[in-house]
Amino acid sequence: MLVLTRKPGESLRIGDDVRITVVEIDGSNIKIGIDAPRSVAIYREEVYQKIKEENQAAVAKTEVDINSLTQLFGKKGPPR
Amino acid sequence: MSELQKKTLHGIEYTDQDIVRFENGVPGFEGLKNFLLTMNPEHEPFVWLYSIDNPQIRFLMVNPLLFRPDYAPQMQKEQLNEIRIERKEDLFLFVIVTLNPNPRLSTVNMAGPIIINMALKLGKQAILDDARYSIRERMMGEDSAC
Repeated sequence: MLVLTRKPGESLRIGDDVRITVVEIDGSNIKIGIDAPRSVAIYREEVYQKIKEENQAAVAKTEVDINSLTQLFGKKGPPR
Repeated sequence: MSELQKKTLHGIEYTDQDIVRFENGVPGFEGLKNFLLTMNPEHEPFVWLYSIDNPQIRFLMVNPLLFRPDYAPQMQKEQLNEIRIERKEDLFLFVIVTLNPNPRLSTVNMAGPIIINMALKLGKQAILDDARYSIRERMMGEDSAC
Protein backbone atom coordinates (compact mmCIF):
# COMPACT_ATOMS: atom_id res chain seq x y z
CA MET A 1 0.00 0.00 0.00
CA LEU A 2 1.21 3.46 -0.85
CA VAL A 3 1.20 5.66 2.24
CA LEU A 4 1.29 9.46 1.95
CA THR A 5 1.18 12.14 4.63
CA ARG A 6 -1.31 15.00 4.14
CA LYS A 7 -2.38 17.97 6.23
CA PRO A 8 -5.94 19.28 6.51
CA GLY A 9 -6.82 21.11 3.32
CA GLU A 10 -4.33 19.11 1.26
CA SER A 11 -5.42 16.70 -1.45
CA LEU A 12 -4.19 13.87 -3.55
CA ARG A 13 -5.23 12.66 -6.95
CA ILE A 14 -5.95 9.16 -8.17
CA GLY A 15 -5.71 9.14 -11.93
CA ASP A 16 -6.97 12.19 -13.79
CA ASP A 17 -10.41 12.44 -12.33
CA VAL A 18 -10.47 11.43 -8.67
CA ARG A 19 -9.39 13.89 -5.99
CA ILE A 20 -9.36 13.10 -2.29
CA THR A 21 -9.08 15.95 0.21
CA VAL A 22 -8.49 15.81 3.95
CA VAL A 23 -11.14 18.27 5.07
CA GLU A 24 -10.80 18.22 8.83
CA ILE A 25 -9.21 16.26 11.64
CA ASP A 26 -10.99 16.07 14.97
CA GLY A 27 -9.36 13.64 17.38
CA SER A 28 -9.66 10.18 15.84
CA ASN A 29 -12.20 11.34 13.22
CA ILE A 30 -10.96 12.41 9.84
CA LYS A 31 -13.31 14.06 7.39
CA ILE A 32 -12.47 13.20 3.81
CA GLY A 33 -13.85 14.87 0.71
CA ILE A 34 -13.98 12.99 -2.58
CA ASP A 35 -14.37 14.48 -6.03
CA ALA A 36 -15.02 11.78 -8.59
CA PRO A 37 -16.96 11.34 -11.82
CA ARG A 38 -20.60 10.34 -11.49
CA SER A 39 -19.80 6.93 -12.93
CA VAL A 40 -17.75 6.05 -9.85
CA ALA A 41 -19.76 4.65 -6.94
CA ILE A 42 -18.26 5.29 -3.52
CA TYR A 43 -18.92 3.09 -0.49
CA ARG A 44 -17.58 2.85 2.99
CA GLU A 45 -15.41 -0.26 3.11
CA GLU A 46 -17.27 -1.92 5.99
CA VAL A 47 -20.60 -1.60 4.14
CA TYR A 48 -19.13 -3.32 1.07
CA GLN A 49 -17.54 -6.03 3.26
CA LYS A 50 -20.83 -6.81 5.02
CA ILE A 51 -22.64 -7.26 1.70
CA LYS A 52 -19.85 -9.50 0.45
CA GLU A 53 -19.97 -11.72 3.55
CA GLU A 54 -23.74 -11.97 3.40
CA ASN A 55 -23.61 -12.98 -0.29
CA GLN A 56 -21.21 -15.78 0.63
CA ALA A 57 -23.47 -16.87 3.49
CA ALA A 58 -26.51 -16.83 1.20
CA VAL A 59 -24.81 -19.01 -1.42
CA ALA A 60 -23.65 -21.47 1.23
CA LYS A 61 -27.23 -21.90 2.45
CA THR A 62 -28.90 -22.52 -0.91
CA GLU A 63 -28.86 -26.28 -0.25
CA VAL A 64 -31.33 -25.79 2.58
CA ASP A 65 -34.74 -27.09 1.53
CA ILE A 66 -36.87 -24.13 0.54
CA ASN A 67 -40.21 -25.91 0.56
CA SER A 68 -40.87 -25.16 4.20
CA LEU A 69 -40.24 -21.49 3.49
CA THR A 70 -42.51 -21.35 0.45
CA GLN A 71 -45.27 -23.12 2.38
CA LEU A 72 -45.01 -20.68 5.24
CA PHE A 73 -44.68 -17.69 2.96
CA GLY A 74 -47.50 -18.47 0.56
CA LYS A 75 -47.70 -17.46 -3.08
CA LYS A 76 -48.54 -13.84 -2.42
CA GLY A 77 -46.35 -13.11 0.53
CA PRO A 78 -45.92 -13.99 4.18
CA PRO A 79 -48.62 -14.16 6.81
CA ARG A 80 -49.07 -10.89 8.62
CA MET B 1 -27.94 -17.80 -35.48
CA SER B 2 -25.75 -19.16 -32.72
CA GLU B 3 -27.27 -16.60 -30.36
CA LEU B 4 -30.55 -18.48 -30.33
CA GLN B 5 -29.00 -21.86 -29.84
CA LYS B 6 -30.61 -23.60 -26.91
CA LYS B 7 -28.41 -24.46 -23.95
CA THR B 8 -29.28 -25.96 -20.61
CA LEU B 9 -28.30 -25.22 -17.03
CA HIS B 10 -29.60 -27.54 -14.30
CA GLY B 11 -32.16 -28.78 -16.81
CA ILE B 12 -33.35 -25.26 -17.61
CA GLU B 13 -33.31 -24.35 -21.28
CA TYR B 14 -32.07 -20.90 -22.21
CA THR B 15 -30.54 -18.95 -25.07
CA ASP B 16 -27.95 -16.19 -24.95
CA GLN B 17 -30.78 -13.66 -25.05
CA ASP B 18 -31.91 -14.79 -21.60
CA ILE B 19 -28.57 -14.09 -19.95
CA VAL B 20 -28.53 -11.25 -17.44
CA ARG B 21 -25.16 -9.58 -17.48
CA PHE B 22 -23.62 -8.35 -14.20
CA GLU B 23 -20.68 -6.34 -15.50
CA ASN B 24 -18.92 -6.28 -12.11
CA GLY B 25 -20.28 -9.50 -10.69
CA VAL B 26 -21.57 -9.12 -7.13
CA PRO B 27 -19.43 -8.50 -4.03
CA GLY B 28 -17.70 -11.76 -3.10
CA PHE B 29 -18.29 -13.15 -6.59
CA GLU B 30 -16.75 -10.45 -8.74
CA GLY B 31 -15.70 -12.88 -11.46
CA LEU B 32 -19.20 -14.17 -12.14
CA LYS B 33 -20.83 -11.97 -14.73
CA ASN B 34 -23.47 -14.04 -16.50
CA PHE B 35 -26.63 -15.10 -14.73
CA LEU B 36 -29.95 -16.70 -15.50
CA LEU B 37 -33.12 -15.64 -13.72
CA THR B 38 -35.37 -18.65 -13.32
CA MET B 39 -38.81 -19.01 -11.87
CA ASN B 40 -39.93 -22.39 -10.68
CA PRO B 41 -43.71 -22.31 -10.05
CA GLU B 42 -43.22 -24.56 -7.03
CA HIS B 43 -40.95 -22.01 -5.41
CA GLU B 44 -43.10 -18.99 -6.21
CA PRO B 45 -42.81 -16.14 -5.27
CA PHE B 46 -39.11 -16.89 -4.87
CA VAL B 47 -36.85 -16.88 -7.92
CA TRP B 48 -33.38 -18.24 -8.52
CA LEU B 49 -30.47 -16.33 -9.96
CA TYR B 50 -28.10 -18.93 -11.35
CA SER B 51 -24.52 -18.23 -12.29
CA ILE B 52 -23.77 -19.52 -15.76
CA ASP B 53 -20.03 -19.10 -15.21
CA ASN B 54 -20.05 -21.31 -12.11
CA PRO B 55 -23.17 -23.53 -12.01
CA GLN B 56 -22.52 -24.31 -8.31
CA ILE B 57 -23.40 -20.74 -7.39
CA ARG B 58 -26.98 -19.58 -7.15
CA PHE B 59 -28.90 -17.01 -5.19
CA LEU B 60 -32.47 -17.27 -3.97
CA MET B 61 -34.28 -13.97 -4.36
CA VAL B 62 -37.67 -12.45 -3.71
CA ASN B 63 -39.48 -9.22 -4.47
CA PRO B 64 -39.10 -7.24 -1.20
CA LEU B 65 -42.33 -5.32 -1.75
CA LEU B 66 -44.26 -8.53 -1.00
CA PHE B 67 -43.42 -8.28 2.68
CA ARG B 68 -42.18 -4.65 2.99
CA PRO B 69 -44.51 -2.60 0.80
CA ASP B 70 -42.81 0.56 2.10
CA TYR B 71 -39.32 -0.54 1.03
CA ALA B 72 -37.88 2.49 -0.74
CA PRO B 73 -34.13 2.16 -1.17
CA GLN B 74 -32.37 5.36 -2.10
CA MET B 75 -29.81 4.35 -4.69
CA GLN B 76 -26.94 6.41 -5.89
CA LYS B 77 -27.75 7.56 -9.42
CA GLU B 78 -24.60 5.99 -10.78
CA GLN B 79 -25.83 2.58 -9.64
CA LEU B 80 -28.95 2.97 -11.79
CA ASN B 81 -26.88 4.42 -14.65
CA GLU B 82 -24.70 1.34 -14.58
CA ILE B 83 -27.61 -0.82 -15.69
CA ARG B 84 -28.83 1.96 -18.01
CA ILE B 85 -32.27 2.42 -16.48
CA GLU B 86 -34.25 4.93 -18.49
CA ARG B 87 -37.79 3.74 -17.91
CA LYS B 88 -39.08 2.84 -14.47
CA GLU B 89 -40.94 -0.20 -15.79
CA ASP B 90 -37.69 -1.86 -16.88
CA LEU B 91 -36.39 -1.91 -13.31
CA PHE B 92 -36.94 -5.14 -11.37
CA LEU B 93 -36.05 -5.22 -7.71
CA PHE B 94 -35.12 -8.29 -5.67
CA VAL B 95 -33.44 -9.06 -2.38
CA ILE B 96 -31.26 -12.10 -1.71
CA VAL B 97 -32.53 -14.68 0.77
CA THR B 98 -30.23 -16.39 3.25
CA LEU B 99 -32.04 -19.63 3.98
CA ASN B 100 -32.22 -21.21 7.40
CA PRO B 101 -33.41 -24.75 8.20
CA ASN B 102 -36.04 -23.02 10.33
CA PRO B 103 -37.89 -21.02 7.66
CA ARG B 104 -38.90 -18.33 10.15
CA LEU B 105 -35.22 -17.58 10.70
CA SER B 106 -34.52 -17.15 6.99
CA THR B 107 -33.40 -13.59 6.33
CA VAL B 108 -33.15 -11.21 3.41
CA ASN B 109 -30.44 -8.71 2.57
CA MET B 110 -32.29 -5.40 2.42
CA ALA B 111 -29.05 -3.40 2.27
CA GLY B 112 -27.86 -4.99 -0.97
CA PRO B 113 -30.83 -5.28 -3.33
CA ILE B 114 -30.36 -6.83 -6.76
CA ILE B 115 -31.54 -4.48 -9.49
CA ILE B 116 -32.11 -5.74 -13.01
CA ASN B 117 -32.90 -3.85 -16.19
CA MET B 118 -35.16 -6.50 -17.67
CA ALA B 119 -35.30 -4.83 -21.09
CA LEU B 120 -31.52 -4.76 -21.55
CA LYS B 121 -30.79 -7.77 -19.31
CA LEU B 122 -28.31 -5.86 -17.18
CA GLY B 123 -28.02 -6.47 -13.45
CA LYS B 124 -26.17 -5.25 -10.43
CA GLN B 125 -26.19 -5.47 -6.66
CA ALA B 126 -26.85 -2.01 -5.30
CA ILE B 127 -25.10 -1.16 -2.07
CA LEU B 128 -27.14 1.00 0.27
CA ASP B 129 -25.58 3.03 3.01
CA ASP B 130 -28.88 3.37 4.82
CA ALA B 131 -29.35 2.59 8.50
CA ARG B 132 -33.01 1.66 7.88
CA TYR B 133 -32.07 -1.49 6.02
CA SER B 134 -29.99 -4.34 7.35
CA ILE B 135 -28.24 -7.23 5.63
CA ARG B 136 -30.17 -9.72 7.78
CA GLU B 137 -33.79 -8.87 8.06
CA ARG B 138 -36.53 -11.37 8.87
CA MET B 139 -39.30 -11.67 6.32
CA MET B 140 -41.84 -12.75 8.89
CA GLY B 141 -42.58 -11.65 12.40
CA GLU B 142 -41.81 -14.29 15.01
CA ASP B 143 -45.39 -14.39 16.19
CA SER B 144 -47.07 -14.70 12.79
CA ALA B 145 -49.50 -17.59 12.64
CA CYS B 146 -48.61 -20.78 10.83
